[in-house]
Parts: sequence; structure tokens; C-alpha cells
Amino acid sequence: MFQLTDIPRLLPEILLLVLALLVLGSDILERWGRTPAAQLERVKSSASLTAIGLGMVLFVALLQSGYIYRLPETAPVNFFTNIIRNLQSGGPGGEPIAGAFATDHLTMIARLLIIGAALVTSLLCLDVRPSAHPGEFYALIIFSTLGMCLMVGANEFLLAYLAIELTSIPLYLLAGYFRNDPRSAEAGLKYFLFGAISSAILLYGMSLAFGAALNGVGSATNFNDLTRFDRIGTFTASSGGLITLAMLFIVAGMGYKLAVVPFHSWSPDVYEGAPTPITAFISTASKAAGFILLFRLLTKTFPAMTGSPTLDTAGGWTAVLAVLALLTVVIGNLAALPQTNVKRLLAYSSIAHAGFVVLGLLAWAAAQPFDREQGLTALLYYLFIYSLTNLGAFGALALIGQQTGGDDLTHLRGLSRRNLPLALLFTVCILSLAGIPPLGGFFAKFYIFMVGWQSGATWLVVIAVVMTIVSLYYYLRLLKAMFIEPATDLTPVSLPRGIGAALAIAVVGVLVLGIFPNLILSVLERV
Amino acid sequence: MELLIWLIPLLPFIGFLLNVFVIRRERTAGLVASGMVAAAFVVTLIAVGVLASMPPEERRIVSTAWEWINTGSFQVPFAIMFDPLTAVMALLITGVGALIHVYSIGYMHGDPRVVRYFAYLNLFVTMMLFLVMANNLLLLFLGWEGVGLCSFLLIGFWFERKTAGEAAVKAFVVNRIGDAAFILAMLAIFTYFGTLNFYSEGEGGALGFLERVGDIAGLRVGPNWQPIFVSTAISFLLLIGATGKSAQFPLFVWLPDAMAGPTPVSALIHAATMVTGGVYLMARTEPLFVASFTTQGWVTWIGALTALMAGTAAMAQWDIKRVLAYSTVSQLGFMVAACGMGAYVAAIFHLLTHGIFKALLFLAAGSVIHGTHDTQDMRRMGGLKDAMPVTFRTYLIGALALAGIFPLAGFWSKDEILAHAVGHGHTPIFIILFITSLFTAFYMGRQVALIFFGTQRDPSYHPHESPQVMTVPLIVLAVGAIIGGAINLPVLHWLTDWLEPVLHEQAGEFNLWLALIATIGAVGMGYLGWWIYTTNAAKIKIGGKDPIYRYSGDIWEGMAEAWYLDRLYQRTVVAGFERLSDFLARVFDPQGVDGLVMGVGRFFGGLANSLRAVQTGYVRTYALVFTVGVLLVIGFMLWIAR
Repeated sequence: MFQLTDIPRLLPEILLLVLALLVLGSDILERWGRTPAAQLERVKSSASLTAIGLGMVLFVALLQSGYIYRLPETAPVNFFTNIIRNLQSGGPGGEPIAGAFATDHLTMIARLLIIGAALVTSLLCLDVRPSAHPGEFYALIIFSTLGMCLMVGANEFLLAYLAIELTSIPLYLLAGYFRNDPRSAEAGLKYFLFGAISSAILLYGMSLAFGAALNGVGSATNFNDLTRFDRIGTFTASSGGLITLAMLFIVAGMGYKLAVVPFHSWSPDVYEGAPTPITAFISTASKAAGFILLFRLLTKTFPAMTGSPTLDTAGGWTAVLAVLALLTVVIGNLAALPQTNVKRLLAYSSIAHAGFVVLGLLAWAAAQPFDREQGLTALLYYLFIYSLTNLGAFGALALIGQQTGGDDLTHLRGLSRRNLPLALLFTVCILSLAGIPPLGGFFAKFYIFMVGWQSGATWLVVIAVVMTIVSLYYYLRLLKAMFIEPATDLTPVSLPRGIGAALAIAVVGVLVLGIFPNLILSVLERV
Repeated sequence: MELLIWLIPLLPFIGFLLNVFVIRRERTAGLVASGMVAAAFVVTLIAVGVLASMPPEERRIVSTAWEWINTGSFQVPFAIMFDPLTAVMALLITGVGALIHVYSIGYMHGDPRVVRYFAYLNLFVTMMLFLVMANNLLLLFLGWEGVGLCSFLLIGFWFERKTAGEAAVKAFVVNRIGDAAFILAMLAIFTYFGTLNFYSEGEGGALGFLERVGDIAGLRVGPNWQPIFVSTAISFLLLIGATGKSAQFPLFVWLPDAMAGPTPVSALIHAATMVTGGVYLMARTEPLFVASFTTQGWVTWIGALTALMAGTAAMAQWDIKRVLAYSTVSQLGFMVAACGMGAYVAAIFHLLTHGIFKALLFLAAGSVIHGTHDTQDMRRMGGLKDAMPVTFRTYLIGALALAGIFPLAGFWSKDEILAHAVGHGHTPIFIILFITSLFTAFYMGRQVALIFFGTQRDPSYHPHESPQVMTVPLIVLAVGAIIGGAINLPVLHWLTDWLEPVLHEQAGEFNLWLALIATIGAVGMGYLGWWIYTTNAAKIKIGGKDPIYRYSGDIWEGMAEAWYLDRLYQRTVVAGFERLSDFLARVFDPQGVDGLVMGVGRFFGGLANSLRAVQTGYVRTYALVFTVGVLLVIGFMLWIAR
């Protein structure tokens, strides 16, 4: 049952909702008019309100989680400590709210990741020209963030489904936000149509699982909680083909969110067409939320059919995921090779990275609970690093695209002579994606390979490691364009403050978390 | 003391930071960079002194800066160590490195990006020091990749030259093949030993994997029809890693192309230090290699084959630097073969002397290139010995040392490897290496004749001697090339004793007959090379064929192309990947570039049109792919549950 004391546990979500409405409403109060000056003012005010607001929500979520500072039991009682105490009473732990929304460590950590990604995205948008109605643009980002926060905590089918839709619908709109740009319009429409198909499949899978659980439970028990992941897991443990089919449909439906092969084909087009900051958001926060929901779905709903990724014995979902990971890593990396558009290239690179992340899920097949936990830690670490890196890379690309008029490889040429700091920031992100130590990307890859290896998917790890060679080749093409190839145009590129800040956050994060991974691992381990 | 050994890698790193963030002037950049590396050399000397004052079995200083990774059982400290093996490597890196930095001040003078050059160079030295000082494989890998990155940046440094960019990418990607195997080796080692530390961290700590190799004795992995020993699997993966970095067959193709970088870079990275990383790795993880008879055979044969292939290739090159590049590959083959035969001390000995005289040769070649206004084709040189006396004399010393003439440094180290091959019954290996050493003398005689003797064949430039800032390092290195053999003379064998705590090896027997024959052979072949190319000097034309080409024909062609290995890769691996990725892009990326143009065209008509376009357009394809995907997954499930 929902109780009043559960409100602090939902505080970040509530604050996000308030913030979204505030951004939407504040737009009315701004100066109206179609002159460029008025437009710019509205954009700036909406953007800064969003960025500041998200920063505050992030701060609240951080304080609530207690990862940085935990109020000691013996602290004196006064106004400030009371606020913190109340906040932290909604911290990690406790039963899921109304059986539907879990507020465990996983949710807390994922929330920080998602809100952080949204904050960086809003910084990236500070200097981008959203068209006539800036308030909408930023509010949609926040609504989508809210959806993702619900998604990572969802512990029940209905909430999971609604959260996915709440995440996706704003993203469809955002991807197609520049209606006058045919590429953007196309991207939005494609994203929407494809999302609809996958939603249908996911919903179908959920209904099958529900049906299987109903069969298992008979007529005696109270049905109320029968959509909860763990309930379904309990009641369908012994049912056969039906629940397998349900699992497959759910994997396929979620596979679309994660853009794993063969459910990936929308992503290069959408990534390429969407406004670049939105691409950054889709490729990081949305993917991370998808992975965490998939993790909950699979481990709680289908614990009986975990199987093994070794492919020796009868497989379960780990076997399916292993095969998907194989396809994703191979096809994602190879298809990136001939790309000439950088956004498209990075889109394929994100597909390939999703394949690496799946390795972390495979660890659930390990015999030791300890190894399973390692798998989740590796997965979260990878998601953190990958999100930082991709936000940085797409952020740099947003600026380059805005100032050079395009995002093909030719537009990168001679960037080191046009703006060296920008080129260096971009380079760090690319090298991290390629997995060069001591950047975070290397250690994330190494850790997840190790986890995959110990879960028994040695063959998959070998192929994945080999594919990193291929990936280096296309990442180096970017570096080569920036540093080695001659420039056609030598006008300097300026680095505005918003994007500069976002890039600095990403690069510093990637560097620091690579050299001192313990800073974050000690938190991630608590999951 | 712990602070002291941290200073060694940190000093060049400070130089790097200064060059990146503070320094803007060419002169300060060169001085600071050289000063930092020289200071690191001094600190290394002090550290060696301290090490020598300890009892031999305790000669290892380990220092942990922080727990790098600490999650559950996966623990890796950010720790460096200083032991006899590390000490000699660090001395080579900082000593030769400092000289090359000084030389670079003269060589790079007037280049528009000197500050960046010195920043890269300092970063390289830092990473190389981490490579040899690491106390665990993961930190070693950090240095390993770091030097690869610096190599990439420095090969592509003169990006105005067309080949530089291609060569840089090629070097990095080929190296990455070895790195992939290295990563797999680390995963395997962690799986079987639960640690990546080489040795225990100080008193009472958990043992490192090198101290526990016995644990995996007899363990097998792999399919039932062909199980292999775990030790073989791990050491073989490490071997692949070493073949990438140390430019061994079949991965040596990147090194000759890497000569597109500035010549001091070739001397430092592609001759003296980075390319020896693979040999160092094998010497460091020697217990793993020794545990596997199979891998040792592979190591020996790869080394010998590389030595022969590259030695023959070096004979047929016209480019002054490519001769030296193939020669480097060939000499690395000697070291690797020595490792394979279990003569690790001989390998390290050759690594050290080779580091000195090959750096000397490269720097002298750089002096030649500098003095002839960027001429690299030896057909356009000739008769430079009068115009460049210092360069000529030092080059000659380097060439004699490389050819293995008594009593220069190369003689002692090469002789030790050959003597080990004879003494331990590796007769075929001995024959290959002996022939290669004759070739070595031949191509050095040829090169000296082509550059310094006869008359100048291209009159379009006026050769001049290089400034003192360049010639002084040459002289210092030449002295090193003369007396460097002293560190492991047959009777004294200081190096063997020094490395005894790490490598546990007895000093080899000195074989007088072998030494005599080898010296006579080297003198004879060196003279032959010199004689052919001085008497036939008139027949050498710019852009023309080699005098020997008339007699050997296609064989010469094959040698010039390094037996077509590069072309083989181009036609099979590279072309194969291109086809495959094109195919995949066509199947899985139907939109592509063409589709995008069409899509844009269709969308111009507005939303109504675009809707129609989508209905008849690509989304249908995607949905089809999606559905097929679902069906495939279900099919897979049925297949696996059958």
C-alpha cells in the first residue's frame, strides 16, 4: 500500500515533475514575440532554468542516497539536520512502494546516472537553437528523465510499461523536434513507428507472462500483486513453453530500447537525424535505463530459466543474450567501418558498446552469488563510463556540427588547428570509447570482459576482444581527421561555456574514474 | 627510497605537463624535456646504487601509490617496483632517452610544433618507464598502450607527409592485435591465479602469479579432442602480444612504415625502447614461458624466422631508415629467439647493447638526413665521409658494433646468443641465426659504402656536418657502442650475476672457436658488402636497380618487399574486412548514404508526403528485420532446447 511516509522516497521523481511543469509554465511568462532577440531570451531562460533545476534535483538525489555524506545517528537535532534526516529516511532500502517501485541501491545509483545525464544534456542544449517553443523542448527532456527514473525502479509490469512509454514518447518528439529539417522529422517518425512495434511486442510478452502466472496460481490466491516481477517468477517457475515465449518477446521488446542487433536498425537513422544533444541523451540515459530494467525483468521474472551462456547445455535467457551480444558486437563494429558520417559512426559504435554491456548481464549465470554481484557492478560501471564518454563525444560533435555546418568526417578535418582544446576533449572521449588506458573506457571494458569470462562465455569474450581491434580502426579515423588530415577551412571554432562545461564534466569524469575507479566502485558494490 | 623510485617516471611526466600547459617557446621546451629525462637518469643511477647495496635475494623495492581497483576479489594496486631487471631497462630508457632528447633540440630546430613534439616525447618516456616498472600486468598494460599511443602520435607528427597518417594508423592497429591477445592473457591469468601482481607486495603479502606458476602445472583447457596446457595457452597469448609490440613475424609489417616519423623518434621508440617491450615482457614472465615447452618452441622459431626474413629484407632497401628498420626487426628476432631457447640474460644483454648502437645508427642516419636536406634515398648520397667526418666515424662504429666485430658491444651480446644455441643443441636455430648475422654484416657494409664512399651521386645539395648539439650525443653513444659489451664479458659476467635474482640463470660458456669464426665471417661479409658497392658505385643510378639485381632478379624483388607479407595482408585481411563491412552495411544499413539522399528528397514535400514515403519506404524494411530477428531468436531457443 502507498503510505504518506513513502513520499520522501519518491522525492526526486516528484521534483522532476514539478520542474517540468515549471519549465513549461515559465515560458508563458517570458517576453512574447518572434524577433530573434525575444526568441533567444526565451531559449536562454528555459535552458538555464532546466539546467539549474536538474542540478538541484541531482543534489537532492545525491544527498538522499547518502553515498557522499551520511548523517550520523548522533547528529544534533536542528532545522538542517532534520531536513537531511528526513531526506535520508527515504534513502536506499525498504520494501518496494506499493509493491511497484523499488527504492534499493540499484534505483538510487541509476537515478543519479540518469539525472546526471539529463543535466549534462541540458548543458549541451544551452547553446543549441531549439525552435519556436523552447519551454516544450526542455520540459520534454525532463519528462523523459522522469520516465527513466520510474523505469529503473519499476518492479511491476504495469509501471514498467508506463515508464517506458513516458520515456519514449517525449523522445520521439525530441528526435523530430526540428520539423523543418527533413532528417530530424524523418528520425522522429521512424523512432515513433519502430517504438510502437517494439512496445506491442513487449506488451505481448508481458501479457503472456501474466497469463502463465495465472495458470500457475490457480484461483485461490489474491491476484492483486500478480504483475510483480518476483510473483510471476514464483508462479511460473514450472511452466514450460509459454513462459519461454514470454521471455523472448520481452527480450526482443527491450532489445529495441538497447539497440542490440537485430533490433537496432532504427538507431543509426534516429541518431543521425535527431538534434545532436538529444542523440547524446538517447544513446546514454535511455540505454542505461533500459539495461537496468532488463536486468530487473530477467533476474526477477525469469530466475528459473537463467541457463548458461556457454551454449553447451540447454540455454536460458543468458544463452539468448549471449547470441545477441555476439551479433551486436560483430555487426556493430563492422558496420561502423565504412561510415562517413560521424554521428552515424558513433551510432554504430554505441550499438557495439551495448553488446559489451550485455556481457555484464551474462554473469547472472555464474554459480557463485559473488560473481553475479560482480557482474552487476561491472555493468553499472560500464554504463557510467559509457554515458560520460558518449555525452562528451556527442556534445563535442553537436558543437562541431553547429559551427562547421555538418557532421561528416570531412567537417572534422583540421579541427586541432581550428580549436585545439575542443579537439583534445573530443580525443579523450574517443580514446576512452576505444578503450585506451588509463581512461575509464579501458577499465570498464576490461572489467566487463573479466566478468563475462568468469561467467563461462569465454568464446564471446574472445570475439569481443578481437572486435575491439576493429573498433580502434574507425576511432582512429576520427583522430586522423582531426589531427593529421589537412584542413580545408581554417576559421577558428569557438567553444561556448555551456558545452565547454558539459565536455569538461565528461572528460574529467572519464579521466578520474579511470585512474581512481574505486571512487565509484565502492558505491556500485553496494547494489 | 620508495619516493625515489616514484621520481623516475614522475620527472618526465612533469616535463610533459610543463610542455603541455606552460611552455610556449621552442628553446625552453627542449631544455626542460631533456633536463627532466636526464634527471630521471640520475635518479635511476642512485636507485641502482641503493639496490646494489642490498643483499642479492632482497633486491626488490615495491611501492604502492593507491589501490587502483578494489572490488571484491578483483584487486589491482597502482604499484611500481624496482628490481635488477627493471633497473637495467630504466637505465637504458632514461640514458639513451636523455641523449635522444638533447639530439632532438638540434634536429627539430625550426619545426613549427617543437613544443608538442617534446611533450609527446616526455609522455612516451613516462609510459615506457611505467611499462618496465609496473608491479602488475594491468599497470604494465597501461604503459604498453601508452607507448603505443605516443608512437601513433609521433609517427603521424609530420602529417604534411602523405604516408605519415597511414603509417601511424597502421602501427596502432597492428599493435592492437597483439594487445587483444595480451588482454585475453590477463583474463586467463586472473582466472587461474586470482591476481595480476607479478610478485608479492612486500613482506607477508599474497604471492604474485609468477611465484605460483606451479599451481597450473598439468592443468588443461579446451575441447576434449584437443586439450592444451593452461600454461601453453597463457604464454602463447603473451607471445602474440609480444610479437605485436616487438615487431615479430607475422606482425612486423608496421615497423618499416613507422619510419615516417621524425628520425629521433625512430631511434628512441622504434629501435631502442618501445619495440623491446615484448622482449621485456617475455623476460619478466619467464616462469610462465619456461613452464610451456610448446610455446618456447614457437618463440624460438618465430624469432629465428623473423631474424632471417627481416635480415634479408634489409639487404635490398634503398631508404637509409628502412635498412635500419628491417635491421631492428632482425635483431629483435635474435632477442626473441634467445628468449625461446631459455637464454634470457643473453636476450636482455643484446637488448641493451642493441639499444645503444641502434640508437647511435638512427641518430647518425638522422644527422645524414639533416646534413643532406631531407634526403633518405641512399642512391642520391655517396661520398659523404669528407663532408661529415663525425657522423661518418660514429656511423662506422655503430655499423661495426651491429655487424658483431670484435671487441665492440654487438660482438659480445650476439656471440652469447649464438653460443647458447650451439651449446644447447639448437642446431637449426644456430644455422639460421649465424647466416642472419652474416647478412647483417653485409648490409651494413653496403650501407656504409653507399652513404659515405664513392662520389656524391646527386649534386643538387651541399652536405654539411650537423651542429654540436647533435654530434655530441653521437659521440657519447659511440663510446657506449665500443665499451658496452663490458657489462657481460665472458669471464666477469656482471650482468648475469646482476640479473640472477630475477632470471635465475647461470653464465654461459664462452665458445672461442665460434667467436673466431663469427668474427671472421662478419669481417668478410662486411668487407664484401663494402667492396661490391664501392667498385660498382658508378652503376648505381638515382631510381635505378641494385647492382646485384642483375644476378638475383626476382629474389631481390622479394627481399625488397619483405617477402610480400604486407601485400598478402592487404589482399586478404584488409580486403576481406572491407568486403565484409560493406556487405554488412548494405544488409543492415539499407539507408546508408544513398538512402539518406533519397529520403531527404522524399521528405521535402511536407508531412503528408513524408508519411506516404514512410509507408512505402524503409520503416517497412526495418520492421521486417525486427520481425525476422524475433523469429530467429525463437528459432534459436527451439534449437537449443531440442
